[in-house]
Amino acid sequence: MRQLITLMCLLLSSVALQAQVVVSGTVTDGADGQGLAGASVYERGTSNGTLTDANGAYTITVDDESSVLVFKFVGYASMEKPATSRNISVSLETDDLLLDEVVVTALGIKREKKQLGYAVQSVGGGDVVSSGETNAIAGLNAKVAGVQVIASSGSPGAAAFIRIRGSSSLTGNNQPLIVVDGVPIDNSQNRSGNPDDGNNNLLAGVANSNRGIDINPADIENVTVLKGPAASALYGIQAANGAVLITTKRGSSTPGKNVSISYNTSLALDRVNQFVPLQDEYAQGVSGTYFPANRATPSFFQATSFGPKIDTLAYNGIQNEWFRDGDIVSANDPTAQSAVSPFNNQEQFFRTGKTWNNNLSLSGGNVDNNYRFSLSNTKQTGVVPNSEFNRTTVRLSGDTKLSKRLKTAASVAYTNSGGTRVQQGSNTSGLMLGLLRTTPTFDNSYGNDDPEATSAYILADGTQRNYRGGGGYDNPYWTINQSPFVDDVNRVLGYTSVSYDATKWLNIFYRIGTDVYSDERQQVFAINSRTLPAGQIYEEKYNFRQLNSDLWITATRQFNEKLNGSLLLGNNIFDRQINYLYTQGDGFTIPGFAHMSNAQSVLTRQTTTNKRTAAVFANAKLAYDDYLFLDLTARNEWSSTLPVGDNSFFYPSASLGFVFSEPLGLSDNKIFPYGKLRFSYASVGNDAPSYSTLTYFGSSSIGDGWTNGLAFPINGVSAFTYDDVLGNPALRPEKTNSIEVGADLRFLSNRIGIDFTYYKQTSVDQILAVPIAASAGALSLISNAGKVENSGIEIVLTATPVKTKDLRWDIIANFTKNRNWVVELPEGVETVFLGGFSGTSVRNVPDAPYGQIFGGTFLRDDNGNMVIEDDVNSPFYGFPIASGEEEVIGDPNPDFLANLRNTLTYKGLSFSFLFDFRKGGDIWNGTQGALTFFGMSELTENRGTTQIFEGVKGTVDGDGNLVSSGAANDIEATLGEDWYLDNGGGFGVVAEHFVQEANWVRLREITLAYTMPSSWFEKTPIAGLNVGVSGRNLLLFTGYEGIDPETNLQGAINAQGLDYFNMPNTKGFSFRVGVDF
Amino acid sequence: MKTMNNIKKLPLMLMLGVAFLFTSCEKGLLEGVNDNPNQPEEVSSGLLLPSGQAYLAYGIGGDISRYTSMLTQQVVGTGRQWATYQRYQITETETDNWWRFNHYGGALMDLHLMINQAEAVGDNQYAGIGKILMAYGIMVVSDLVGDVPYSQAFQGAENLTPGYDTQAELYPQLVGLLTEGITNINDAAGPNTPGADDLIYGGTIASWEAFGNVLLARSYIHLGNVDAANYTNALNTLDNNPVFTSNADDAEYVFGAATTEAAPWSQFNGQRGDISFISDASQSIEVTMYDTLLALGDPRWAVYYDTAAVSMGAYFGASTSSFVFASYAEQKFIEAEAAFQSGNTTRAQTAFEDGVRASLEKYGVFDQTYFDAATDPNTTLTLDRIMFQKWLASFTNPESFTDWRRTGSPALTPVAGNVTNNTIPRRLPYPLTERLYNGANRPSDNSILSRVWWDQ
Repeated sequence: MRQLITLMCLLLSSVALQAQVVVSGTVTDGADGQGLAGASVYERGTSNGTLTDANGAYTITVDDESSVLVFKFVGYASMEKPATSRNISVSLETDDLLLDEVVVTALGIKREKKQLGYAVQSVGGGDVVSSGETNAIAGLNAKVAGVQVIASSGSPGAAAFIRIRGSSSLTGNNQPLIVVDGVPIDNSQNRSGNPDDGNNNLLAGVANSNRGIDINPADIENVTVLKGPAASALYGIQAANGAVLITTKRGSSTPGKNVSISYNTSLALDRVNQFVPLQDEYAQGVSGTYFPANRATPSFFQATSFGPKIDTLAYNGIQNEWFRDGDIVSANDPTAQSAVSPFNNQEQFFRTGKTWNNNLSLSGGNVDNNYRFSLSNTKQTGVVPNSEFNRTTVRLSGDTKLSKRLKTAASVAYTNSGGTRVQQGSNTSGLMLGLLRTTPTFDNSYGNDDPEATSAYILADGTQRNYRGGGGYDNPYWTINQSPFVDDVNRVLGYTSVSYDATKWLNIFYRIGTDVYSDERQQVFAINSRTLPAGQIYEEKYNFRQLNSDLWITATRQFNEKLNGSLLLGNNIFDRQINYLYTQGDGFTIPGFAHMSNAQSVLTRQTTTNKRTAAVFANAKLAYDDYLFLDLTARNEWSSTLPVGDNSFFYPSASLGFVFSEPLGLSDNKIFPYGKLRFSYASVGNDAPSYSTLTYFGSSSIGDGWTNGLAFPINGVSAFTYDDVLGNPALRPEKTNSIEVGADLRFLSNRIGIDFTYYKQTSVDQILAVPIAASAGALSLISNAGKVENSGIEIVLTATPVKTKDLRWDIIANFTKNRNWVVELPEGVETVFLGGFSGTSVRNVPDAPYGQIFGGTFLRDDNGNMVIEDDVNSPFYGFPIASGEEEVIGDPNPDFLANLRNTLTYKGLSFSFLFDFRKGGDIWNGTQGALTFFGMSELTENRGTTQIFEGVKGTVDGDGNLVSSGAANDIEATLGEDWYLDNGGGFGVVAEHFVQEANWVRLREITLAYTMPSSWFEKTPIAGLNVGVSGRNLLLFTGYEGIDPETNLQGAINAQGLDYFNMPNTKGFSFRVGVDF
Repeated sequence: MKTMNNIKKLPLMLMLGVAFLFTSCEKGLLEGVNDNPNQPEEVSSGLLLPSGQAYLAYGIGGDISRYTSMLTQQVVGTGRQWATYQRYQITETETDNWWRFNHYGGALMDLHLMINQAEAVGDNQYAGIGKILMAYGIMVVSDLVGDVPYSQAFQGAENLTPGYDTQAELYPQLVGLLTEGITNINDAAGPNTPGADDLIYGGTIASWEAFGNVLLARSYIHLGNVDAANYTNALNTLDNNPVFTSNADDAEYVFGAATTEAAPWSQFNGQRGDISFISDASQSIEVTMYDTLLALGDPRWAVYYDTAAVSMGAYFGASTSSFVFASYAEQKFIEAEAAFQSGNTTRAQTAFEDGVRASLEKYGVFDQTYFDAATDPNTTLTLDRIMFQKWLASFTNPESFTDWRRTGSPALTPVAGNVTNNTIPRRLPYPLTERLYNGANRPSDNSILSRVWWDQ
């Protein structure tokens, strides 16, 4: 520490005054000699710069003749000239593949991609917008190698899960840091529901948003993904999983114009893209006997659709509250009037969703100042009636050059977002659960088109109309009208920064940024809701505040003609506080009055979570002859969450970029003009969750996995229970070491490019709650343990097969293959639970891929053959025998991901389409399992047919031992309700037969856009007009027997690969018009 | 207050940040940030006692009661998972939630900590009540599964893989624990004493003493098959100590009307509804106890079962129902069984009659005609008659499953469609997590058809 300070003092004291030089000239297009307006001219290694005027002319004052001027213009190769003359004019050549592409790197520092020794990849803001996704994170899907994005469903505002190069933490956060304009922002998926229920709230409830949704995609200039620890090393622990750097649009000066106004509007129409296949041949009931919804005594047999064939039934024509056409009787019955035809409750229910987007922006400026103001509104209604998501954003950004040495920048963005969300997943008020289980002989809508018509879901006596006679599950129309969830987020993101050039070679930079929001939610369950028949209301409030302060000093130096370098020394302070308040009122007295004052009992939970870190960091850069680049970083961090006295940790990184084509003199070679190799090593640490070093007591609340349970205070008595999680005063920081090698090769005059990366990262000493035997008195102990390895390759292929004056064809393809391997778990631990149910879950197991699907299996003999029951007295004669054990039954990690985008442009017309491929990766189709039990899955149409299950004959004797001759099975088993109500369906003890591969090929995006020639508007104030039409998810080819397999029950969490009555995904068209003034 | 302090510190923090390179300041910036404002590090015994009691009542009166009532044919699983359990497909997943959240990780750990801290400050009544409830909890779990961790349990990070005590080792320890508990509650009261925080007896110490003695008698009767001397031990316990004298003394946890206080059966029936109570041939639902009570004209039929509502009777199915840890009726049936096995049929007959009467009166349905027929002194008294009436009196109480295994009464026929070669399960499985995280200690045999030590 002391040495560092001494060094900084030395650097500061060497500031000296020097003679200044004024240079002027013009910047022209090398092809036609025309002046380039708005090209940037700056002094290398400083922030001293200017822009050319309408004729391409510039004037700049530099320190002395040793200064080097850099000339840049988008789409052109940049050029450098020493300021040895008072008049310097240059002509720039167009650049095919932007070899000197400038990318944003850690801390928001812009650097030439050429200089980097690690992989980064950028996505233009336009590509995020054209994805048609409301959520900017979802808009990154299928655009970057090494990045996997999984949207949890097509519900408005649903979260998207993003991870880079797999998951490295066994149970902790695996999503990358999201940074907007250099300031880290929160991308959490805040949960809803009683916090005592923990992760179980994710199995049910509503699809919440990840907070990245608060960013307006239209404000994004560019997104850069820092994939490995070497790239994000300067961010320290927050970016242990990589970083996504979002740069927002800034104002720019258009010569001769004070302000540029841009207005864009679009309308998208969405439909469900894939329905769940259901049977429509058999009526409600069991064993071929019809059990109607309005049966005098409720029966569990109303739940299933193993009744008679529908074509043997008729209506008696006497209308009642349950059946518009009268009760259902046998077609042979004397009262029979009209034939019964099956209802398609599923397709009848969903509507066309609409998304309106309106964006207005104003920008302008001059050489020294610029501003941009934008206002946007998104109004989305979902395919589920009454569901919606709205977002309004306002953003103001500006940059000012106060003097030649001093520049400031600031930005503030306000977002209001939220909507009305619908109950989903595993709960008796879940929409899809009630919808898909409904028998085809019952019309949930009661013939109403209006989704709010009460005759669909409320009977005259106020109880619920549903296919189970008021029991079972909510009628979906009840769910959308009687169980609304609304959320309202108010958020401010902002920063201000100052950059001061103390001398030509020394810059001081300071930036402070905040992310502050409140997220208020309310959920109501009306009286007679199936989950909470007495009714419930809860209000919850998150108050989030995050502050990030960065200070750094950069010294640059040209050692000699070929060698230059820089040294950055900095400090970071990060502080976060989350206040959470949950209030739940149970048991309404006055029907229809959803207010806390109407509740018979009220419980409240409150938490405050604090965390603070401080860090010092350094970055040394050396460049030799513009082809060899060495980067070294070091960071030391102190975290409040680690044990006092042992809370400091250090981690270094090194990377090397070697443009080998330069020393080989290939740059003029037509076939192979450019080749670069990258090598990097990095080590990164991570801290613990807040309050992990001690064990505490918490207010008692008691459940049993089946019921809502008890919550203290009870009868005025409070109670506290010892925490299930034991704290650990001996925690150490986590550590991840990584290596990365890569190559960036360009061929045929840069028309073809291949970027290849191999990486391997090993995470050890992970901090996690290690499950322990409950007989020790708790359920887990926070420990350092486990080892996870990620290795893989990423390939980015770019090509421009056609390029003429008017016509251009570009191709970009990304390929991602990651091996996410859990090498070891804490000693003595066989699995670590990540999420799911007690029967089927997602767990980490040692020596296996990350996040395995775990569930009940069929019994297998020593040769791995399934054992088929051959005891004729067994009810399972001819059927596979359950093992009674839970084992790994699926791997949700894809074998590889690939995508391919083609873009054709002809003058102002552009046509682009993006195909997305996914190979492998399992999903537990719990929806199909449950629907098989209920006789609603399409596969139960085979009832009554016979099947010889593949396997060997055998049985289990009274002592539990397998007795098998090993003979192949030849017993014909008759499929039907006996089997489906048992282990053949989803409520038996076996889950393995509902695990399916989620391969897909999809046409994710297709866009046709036209920008009208500006010559059309010469006499009008209009500067430009563009129109476009896009399709999203229009084609999907998958073998998955359910909704679109891009889905996850619990949303953006580590446990991926579960589908249990998830909301469907959507496809749609959008139309947009943009006009510039 | 903490929050305010942090906010006030912000400007200071920023200044420190700017000045960082010129001073050495990382110390102090993080101080106190990791102090947990949400949860206490220590709580009083009066906060742990209700937690332990509610965990026991909700877990044993809920999840465990559902399994044991189903196995002793008082109810029938018909929906979803419960249709599978009904066929005796009960796996290690099924006991996991109860074992972890309610029992070892819930009630027993809270009671363990309460006993320790009460002993440390001389709160003898809390210590005594804690020991009685701990003995109750350990006996319940051992009767259900067999050998269980006790003497090495509850050590937290000190021992993450507690060894198992065999059931043969456990029972003497339980007797010791109960005896100690009864002694403690009669010792000097100590600085803190239970009152409203005691959700079972409201701090009435005499009731705890009686409850402790009934549990002692229960522990002896469980081992009757192991050593006949235990019948004498049971009778001696009942004769020489304060015990229950009427139904009013029953150890009960009464649940509340509020949604967050409601009884587990009422919650399960309302929120899940996968268990049926009423026999219905049209749906192949056969509830042995329902049919038996109906055939006998037993007035408890209408108490246990609500035929009109096709549901559980309100006495047991209401949100305000109670869970009975031990009852006067049970005490009388223990006395009848012990006396009968000791050859004192006269005493057995009297206790038998008292037990039947207590049960009928408990539900307010005493009927002389039925009583006379059920307890007819002219019919030879048999163990079967005693245990049959005890079964009828113990609706939804897990003790039924233990009694049936010990005595084979009543004779139950395995359910149709069972997957166990026509054998009724004789224990519940150890939970998944004990195999995963304490596999070396957990007995390897986890078949639900295997018998616990006293069930030989």
